[in-house]
Amino acid sequence: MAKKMGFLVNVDRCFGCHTCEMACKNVYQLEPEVRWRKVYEIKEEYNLPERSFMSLACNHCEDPECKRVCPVKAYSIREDGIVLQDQSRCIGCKMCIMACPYEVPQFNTKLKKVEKCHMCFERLDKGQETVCVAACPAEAISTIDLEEYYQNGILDSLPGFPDPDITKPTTRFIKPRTGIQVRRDNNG
Amino acid sequence: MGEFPLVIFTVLSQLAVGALITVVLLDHYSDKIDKSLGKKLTLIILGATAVGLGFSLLHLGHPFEAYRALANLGSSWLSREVVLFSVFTLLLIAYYFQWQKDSSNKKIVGILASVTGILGVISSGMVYVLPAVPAWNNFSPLVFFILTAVVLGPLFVIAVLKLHGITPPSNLVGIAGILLAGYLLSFILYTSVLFSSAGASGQTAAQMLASSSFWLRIGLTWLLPLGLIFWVIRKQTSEYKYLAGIFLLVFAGEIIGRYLFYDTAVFLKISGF
Ligand code: SF4
Ligand code: SF4
Repeated sequence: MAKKMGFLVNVDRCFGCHTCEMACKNVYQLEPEVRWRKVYEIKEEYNLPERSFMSLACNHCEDPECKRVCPVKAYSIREDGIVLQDQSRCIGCKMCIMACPYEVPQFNTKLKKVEKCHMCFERLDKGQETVCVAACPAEAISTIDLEEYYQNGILDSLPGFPDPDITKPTTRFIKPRTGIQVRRDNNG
Repeated sequence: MGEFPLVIFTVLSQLAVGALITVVLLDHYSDKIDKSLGKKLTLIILGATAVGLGFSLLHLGHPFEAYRALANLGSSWLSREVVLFSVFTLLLIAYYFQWQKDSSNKKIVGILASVTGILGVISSGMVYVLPAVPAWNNFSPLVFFILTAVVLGPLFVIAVLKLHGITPPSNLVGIAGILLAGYLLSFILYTSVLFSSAGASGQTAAQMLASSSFWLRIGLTWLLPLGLIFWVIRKQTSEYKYLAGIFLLVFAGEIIGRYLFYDTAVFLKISGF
């Protein structure tokens, strides 16, 4: 069976250090205003004493809106599910920027073209890890083949992640565990 | 005004389509348009379309590669819009020569161009029907773009006729008024539905109402022109300054309205609002 690659984001491990974001930006020498991966703070409360974060890049969706709307067919889906954008075809119409529910495609003002995460497909093809996965000090991100990977309790959405029904993202999440909190009793 | 080129392109192309339909209908049902006026009107409509298309290119990062936008007819409404407006332009040129030659095919070419134009306006609307923009992800872009065409078109032709000393058919001003009133009603309905929705749609309505140009738009597109139309019909006058004034008011209102369309739309965002 063909593969279906996706990112697995472990929110329980992520502590919001932005290393993944910077490693990606560094390796691909992105323009100052462009970030292919971004770390977001989850604003909705998990009833936890600490803050929670989700690190997101392109979700390599099964039904990508970027690909549907692009007039020059710059987008394609590989056998293994990775959604690629061929920047040489792009004419900078910004349709994909409007259509992606996850604010993923970004405009490079120097090239006047759009760009986005390609899941380091060249590295994956060589059996290496993606740059973000390799850089994360907490091992909070991994790439998984959704056709093979199974773990109890992995989710396809988190609070603040736009409706996965629109484009069927392949990103999966492990939500933070609520630890046992010991408090002094008020009247004790 | 980041989307200025698109504001100009959409409003001008819609004006052109609406005006062409009016010309074709007037040519069929009345004898108000003679050969020289027919040629002139077609040229103006062609000019508006060309200027609009020129502006649409300015929106692109790479305007000279715009021809490649034809590649994805299978799923991209932008590709379809580009094809339809290119064909519309060619048919307008053909229509001009039909007037020139007094050809018997004039009506057919006019109808073909009108249908292509309407399909072009529909595809312009469909470009914005995006699940990522809840306020647009419904019939509204389509309905409002068509309404812009059918309101601006007749008002424009009425003004041009009058400029040439021809009194427009008496019921045309009334029809334009009814269309404009219908436009106002659909706008009120749409805005109230948006306003009562949660999330990005509600936010869009709130942003729109909070914008300093919102009431200006309401006044220019609807209140003042409707008042003027009512007055013109009651007084049974058809002075050029009033008829041209009605068109200019609505046109200015539509430019501001389209600017608000782009400027106040709220996109889905990660981590809420
Ligand atoms: S996340 Fe956005 S850019 Fe990435 S595949 Fe999905 S729709 Fe396309
Ligand atoms: S900006 Fe480029 S990649 Fe995006 S839809 Fe337009 S042509 Fe396609």
